[in-house]
This record gives sequence, C-alpha cells and structure tokens, in this order.
Amino acid sequence: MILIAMGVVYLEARWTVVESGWRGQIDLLPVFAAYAALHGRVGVMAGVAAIGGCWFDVLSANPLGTSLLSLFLTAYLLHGMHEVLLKGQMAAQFFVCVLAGALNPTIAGLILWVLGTQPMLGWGTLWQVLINAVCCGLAGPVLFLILNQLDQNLSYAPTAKPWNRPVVEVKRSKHYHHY
Amino acid sequence: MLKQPHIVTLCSVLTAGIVLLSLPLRVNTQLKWVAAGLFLPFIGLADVADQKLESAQSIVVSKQELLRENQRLRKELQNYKIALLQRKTVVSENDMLREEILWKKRQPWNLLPARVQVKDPSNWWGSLFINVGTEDGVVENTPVLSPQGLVGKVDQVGRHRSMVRLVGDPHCRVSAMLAQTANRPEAEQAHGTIMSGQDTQLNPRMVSFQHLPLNTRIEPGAEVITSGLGGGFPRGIPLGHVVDSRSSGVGLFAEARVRLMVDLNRLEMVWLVLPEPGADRSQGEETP
Repeated sequence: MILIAMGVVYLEARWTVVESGWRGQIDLLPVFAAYAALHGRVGVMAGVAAIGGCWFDVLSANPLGTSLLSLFLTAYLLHGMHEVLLKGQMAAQFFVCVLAGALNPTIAGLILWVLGTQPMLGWGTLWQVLINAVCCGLAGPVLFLILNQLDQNLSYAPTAKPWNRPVVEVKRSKHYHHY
Repeated sequence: MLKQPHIVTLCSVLTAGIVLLSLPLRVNTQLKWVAAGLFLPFIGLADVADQKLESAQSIVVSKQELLRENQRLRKELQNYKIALLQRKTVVSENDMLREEILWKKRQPWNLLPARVQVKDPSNWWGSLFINVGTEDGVVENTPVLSPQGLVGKVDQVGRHRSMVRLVGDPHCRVSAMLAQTANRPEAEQAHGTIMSGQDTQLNPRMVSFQHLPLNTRIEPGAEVITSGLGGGFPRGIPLGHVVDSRSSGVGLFAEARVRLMVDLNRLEMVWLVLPEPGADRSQGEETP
C-alpha cells in the first residue's frame, strides 16, 4: 500500500497539467491514510504517515515532518469512525475520503502557518481544499477496491484444517442404522 | 478506549513530527536531503521509467517525420547563427565603448542545462527539482532561465539535485522594471519588486509587480524585465507583460498584475546562469 501511495505522489508531482486546469494540485495521499484508519491498524497508519509523508515532503518545499504530522492526525481523527462506519459501502468510503481530503491540507496549512514559513495561503486555499476533497472522494472508492484486492491477494490467509472438517466430526452411535 | 501499543505509536509519531518541525530550518533542510538520499532508488527508478517512456515514444515516430523535424531545426539554427553574427558586432562595439568610459566589462553567461524532475506536489509553494547539484557547480541563489524568460532561483542544493523557487513563490522576490521602448524613455523605467500576489495561488502565471512609484505610466501589455538591482538576477531577462495596474492599499505606491512569459507548469528543461570563476555577482553587472 505504501509503495502505491509513493507512486501516486510521484505521479502528482510529474503531471502538472491537472494543476493548470483545476487551479489546484491534487493530493491523493489522504485516501491512503483514510484506508489505514478505517481498517483499524494504527501501525499501518503510522507507516503511511511516516513514509508517505516524508516522501511528499522530500518532493516539495515543505519542511520535513509537515506531512507526517498532518497525515497522521487526519488518519487518527478518522480512526475513531472505523467501528461505526460501514466501510464496505461506497457512499461511506466517498464521505470518509472527502473528509480526509479536506482535513489533510487544512492541518498542513495550519502547521506551515504556525511555523511562520510564509506559505501561499489566501481565499484560493478554500477552492484548492474543496477540489482536493472532491477528488479524494471520487478516487477513494476506486483506490479502496484496489487496496482491498491487494490485501486479499497478498496477505496471509489461514488454510482450513483437514481434521476440523464436519464430515470427519460426525459421530455414529452403535444404534446407527443404514437405510 | 485506546490500547497501550496504540498510545505508544501515537506518542512516538507525534513526538517525531514535533521534533522534526522544531529543528532550525537549516538542520531540517539537511535532514530532508538525507531523507531524499534514502528515497534515491525510487527517484532513480522513476527517472529510468521516464527515459524508457521517452525512448518508447521515439519508436513510434516515423523516419520521415524525424527528417522533417531535422530540416526545420537546421533552418532555425542557421537563422540563429546569422542573428548571433549581427549581435557579436553589437557586443564588441558595446565592449569597446565600455572600455572607453572605464565601465566594467560585461560577463558572458555561463549556462548549464538541467532537466526538470518533479514539480512541487503541494499547493503552498511554487518550486521544482532539477537534476543538477553541487557536483555540477550549482550554488544557492543561481538564477534559472528558460528561452522565454526568468524561471526562478536555486534555493537548496544537493549533490545531484537542486530545488528551484519559481517566480511568484513567497521566497523568490525579483527586482524588476518596465522595459525601455520608443514610447518609454529610460527616465520612465520604473523599478519595483515581483512577488506573489492574491492571484498567484490559483494562477501560477500571474504575479504582482509592487512598490512602483505612484506616478508611473503603466499601460497594459508593457514588458517587464529584471532590473539587476540587488545582484540576484542579471539585468534584462524578460519576466512578463502587465495585465492591469492600480494604486496600492495605502496609496503610497502603484502595483500591477503581470502575466509571466514562462508557463511554469510545462517546463521540461531549464538553464542555470552559473557564476564565472572569480566573478562577484553581488556587485551587479551594470555598475561602473
């Protein structure tokens, strides 16, 4: 999952045509944070935030650690929902990814503003956050599907125990009659 | 209720983030280059993939099309050679006149081509990474150009990569002036500063030309070039054209919106103006 996230961030940095058209750069990294958060794995959340966030900061002018904090806080805030949400539903995935896509740039912008690094903040930021949220929402269900499939194919699946089969377990009494 | 391992993970990630961000900017930048070194295999892999893609595209192009392109480029080269001959005469005449009035000799530009690797994936900055670094003689604050005009300046330098701050980024301010034309004599060449404006955020090609004298005549379409003041950038590099102008908020200065000549989102190659060995850029080029 982290490798796919890194690939997605690299493509974002290469394909700037989208930015010219929509007046804002799209960042799909929050979708991966949302996926980790909804599947209730704090370790994976930390991994996505640490590796994905550092990779993002290395490719941008952000001070190192900005995206790590913003991604982890986004994932942590969404993690609270993982027990009450029907994460298999596309609508739920859409809304969670919209939330992640809006939360992550907001937190990152807030961190940069607090640090006094003079980022480009203004009314245009609202548009960029909105566009990012919608794009994350739309891309979310598709990425969730891919990640679920990968999770199923690559993760360890316990094999059925041969001695535990119901056929073996059937007990016959001595009064058993074969008709 | 949070489990103990969750609390440990939460605390360690938050502490790591806060510690990294509270480091001095220079240390943080150095750490970032170290982190970039860890990701170097991925950057190399992506570069190789890009090159393979380009070579795959060249297979598809027909030989006829290549020949046509070659012929067009030959014609273009000949035109440039003739223009250069004419320019050489002007330059030698200029040098002779400079010598007569004891002005400093104009230094020729020492250009280094560089390929754009990636553009900043965030919305907060206008920056990009190029594939040259200290090993190629790049130093901080080196001006970066494209054939259309000024692109920005080098802000951080690694061994094989550098980060360029683009014109319009809050950390890249450029001393500029209105270009001399038949309608605008030298005395009316108003000086100001090119910096990020309200429009820059949504349109990277639009920047703000500020601190212009209040009585300046600024027509839409007027060309804006670098002034060379401050020594950051050589004089006379095209920047853009004025879109409109108004008096600034406090009414002491005038300001104008400028559309940049370079499309910063579609850059593939850039040129760095390296300092000549022994030359001191801080004194500027036009000082006697």
